Amino acid sequence: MSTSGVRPIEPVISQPSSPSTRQPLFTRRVRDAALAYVFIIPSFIIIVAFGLYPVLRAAFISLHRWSIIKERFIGLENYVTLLQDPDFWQALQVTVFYVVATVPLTMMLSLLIAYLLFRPIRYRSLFRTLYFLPYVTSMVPAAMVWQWIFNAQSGVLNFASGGTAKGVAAFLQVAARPPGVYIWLGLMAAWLIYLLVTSRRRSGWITGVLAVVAGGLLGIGVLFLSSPTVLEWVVNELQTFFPLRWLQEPRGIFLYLGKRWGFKPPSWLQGPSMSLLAVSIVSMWHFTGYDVVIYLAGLFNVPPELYEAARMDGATESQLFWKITFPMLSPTSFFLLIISTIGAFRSFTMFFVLTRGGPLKTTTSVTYYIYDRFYNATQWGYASAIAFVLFGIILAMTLLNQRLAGRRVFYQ
Amino acid sequence: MASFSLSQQTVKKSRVDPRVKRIFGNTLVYVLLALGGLAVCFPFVWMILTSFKNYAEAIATPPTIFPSNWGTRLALLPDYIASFPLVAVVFILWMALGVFISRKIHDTVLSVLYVLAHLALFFVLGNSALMGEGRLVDLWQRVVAQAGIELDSFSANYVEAWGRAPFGAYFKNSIFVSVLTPLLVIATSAPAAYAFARLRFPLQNVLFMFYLATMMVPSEVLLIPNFITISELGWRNTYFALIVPFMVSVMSIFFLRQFFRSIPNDLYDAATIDGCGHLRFLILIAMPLARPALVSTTMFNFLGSWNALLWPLLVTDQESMRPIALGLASFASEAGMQPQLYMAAATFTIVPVIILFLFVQKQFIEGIATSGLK
Repeated sequence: MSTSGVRPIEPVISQPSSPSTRQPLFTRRVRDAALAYVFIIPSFIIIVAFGLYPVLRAAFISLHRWSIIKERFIGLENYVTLLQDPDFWQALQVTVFYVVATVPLTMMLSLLIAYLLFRPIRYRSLFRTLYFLPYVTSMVPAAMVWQWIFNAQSGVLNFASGGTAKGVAAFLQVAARPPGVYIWLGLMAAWLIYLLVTSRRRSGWITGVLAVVAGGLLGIGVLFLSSPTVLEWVVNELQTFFPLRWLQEPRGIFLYLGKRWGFKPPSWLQGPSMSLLAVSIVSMWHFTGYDVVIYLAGLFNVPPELYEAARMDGATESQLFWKITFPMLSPTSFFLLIISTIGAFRSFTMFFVLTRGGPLKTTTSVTYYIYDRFYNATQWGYASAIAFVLFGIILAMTLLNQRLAGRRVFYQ
Repeated sequence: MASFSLSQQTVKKSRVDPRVKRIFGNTLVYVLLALGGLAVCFPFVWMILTSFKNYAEAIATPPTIFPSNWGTRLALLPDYIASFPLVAVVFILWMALGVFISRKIHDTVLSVLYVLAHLALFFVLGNSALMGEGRLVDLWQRVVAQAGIELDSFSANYVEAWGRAPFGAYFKNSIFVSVLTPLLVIATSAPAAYAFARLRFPLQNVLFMFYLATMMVPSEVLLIPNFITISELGWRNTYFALIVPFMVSVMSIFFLRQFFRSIPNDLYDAATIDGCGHLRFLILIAMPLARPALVSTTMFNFLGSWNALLWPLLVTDQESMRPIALGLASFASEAGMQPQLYMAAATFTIVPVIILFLFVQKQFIEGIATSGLK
């Protein structure tokens, strides 16, 4: 049957207007309300049974010592234990590191990609789909692939980065020693002079950034020329820095580098572990596409008149970005910030498949810790208490964000 | 006048021809986008390449890029073409036809997808019983025999990985759960969304706020009590446990409500005059109009069920009831250091979903872009 398109007309023919001649039993409003309740009841039952009731029950459980079966009421003891539990604090620290490492970087990268895609280019939908692929890819197989890429012994990442570093080292051995270094110094000096001479054609900050790059490279060249031991050390470091242990490396990143380069970071500044950074890389890969799509939608919502008017007034490309695009995107950025922060605070699958919370619990996020207490330790009361604390944190962040946004975000 | 003089100045400032500048700028954009695309695709490429290697190649240091049996096969290709030039000619004509047809498809992604399907069809038809003795495989075997080379089976890793764990059962469970859940979500969400959008009833706002409030609760809080509830109902290791708690999605209700609100009132009035009630209006007019929204909610809930890991891990402990994500996770920990096997398993898990996604990608991505579904 392919008549579905015609069907809406059928009632006219099939249903004579007799109902309207009869006096209806109830008024239209009452009937509508009754129908509305009928419409809502199925979802309401499920939401109460699996959305509201469990919250109350979880609160109840969290006030008990509860291991598979209810043991006894202990009031707030679970919450008190929680505050003194170093594992919980570590899990919270891991989660915060994870949020800080992934959310801003993912958003910046996505904004850049979205901004490139926003231009009138061919194959826009193809690129957009390409960047979106990781987001629809199931995390379990994706994590398996990443595990293999990160593998310490035969992973391709160690091989590729090791090869690149060795290439740079080989280049330095030629380019940072006389006579090569004179070419280097000459080129850099010429670039710097060119930048300064033509600075009026560019916006100030681009010149600034490029000048810092050129000046830095010039300085490094001078340093290598003046002290060959530094060069020796850098070349050696480049040659031996890889392979890294990535997902299996529990040491904090600063502790690791400190050990290597002979400084000792204070205990509060050991940084996230290398394994957590590796997990963050996978997370960025997974979520960038989503942010790109949202940013792209935001970009298309900026009224084009604004750009036209600004161009008329002779605004440069970077002025257009910072004075129009960026402020007009602030609601989008704000939305993404909240969504991604909450998402990152709750992510579990990534940690479960990539590292199982290890090594040495350095990738045990709060959610993973809840799972661990519940599933492995069967401390159900305690796990519920942690879940409630997580709930509280997320709620507080959302409310705080909302208040801040009220003042800062530009809405049309 | 003032703006005129300003634009004059800007023109004077840049000495480079704007056309040259544009071409240069665009090339830079394409190069950046392509580099990003390569980085995004690399895990997929590496997965597929590894899945075709044998064990020694897979774990070799330094890593080999291409599976060696691809090289041997490629080396035999000239022989194949020389022996059966007709096949090569037919192939080229066939692909030319495919490209010609794909040019007619407006959507870039779909047209690329079409070319791939067209290519696959060549091999399906070429190896079907229709071809009798002249199947492509038979011809290939003849060339291989002629060259006197012993070749590894092309899909050995796939066959072995599939046999190592009950993937058939995993797929059956996942397909059943991931198809039924979105349908049930639509069945419960569409009426509720319609009621919130177009009907007036007491407690409407209170109920809606309640629905939204439940969205704030992270699933970690619900995990333990829901697990207890499911156990009390005796639903562990049943499809009920995997489907019923996810039968309603407040996000979908919210999303569909927005859509139903945008339907003009005149349409409803016209339908009412024709004797159409709310239920009829919802099914016959509102739902078809909301098709883009329905596609993205369906796809979203489908992906949610397909990718779910933690909940199935808790409520199923029988192998035969596990969905694919969970089955694959346990397979990965049991297969040990056999990367080529688990890359093969990862490939046959990822590819069907990606193909499905590519078919609906336009509506799905646009649905997300307009609503921020997550």
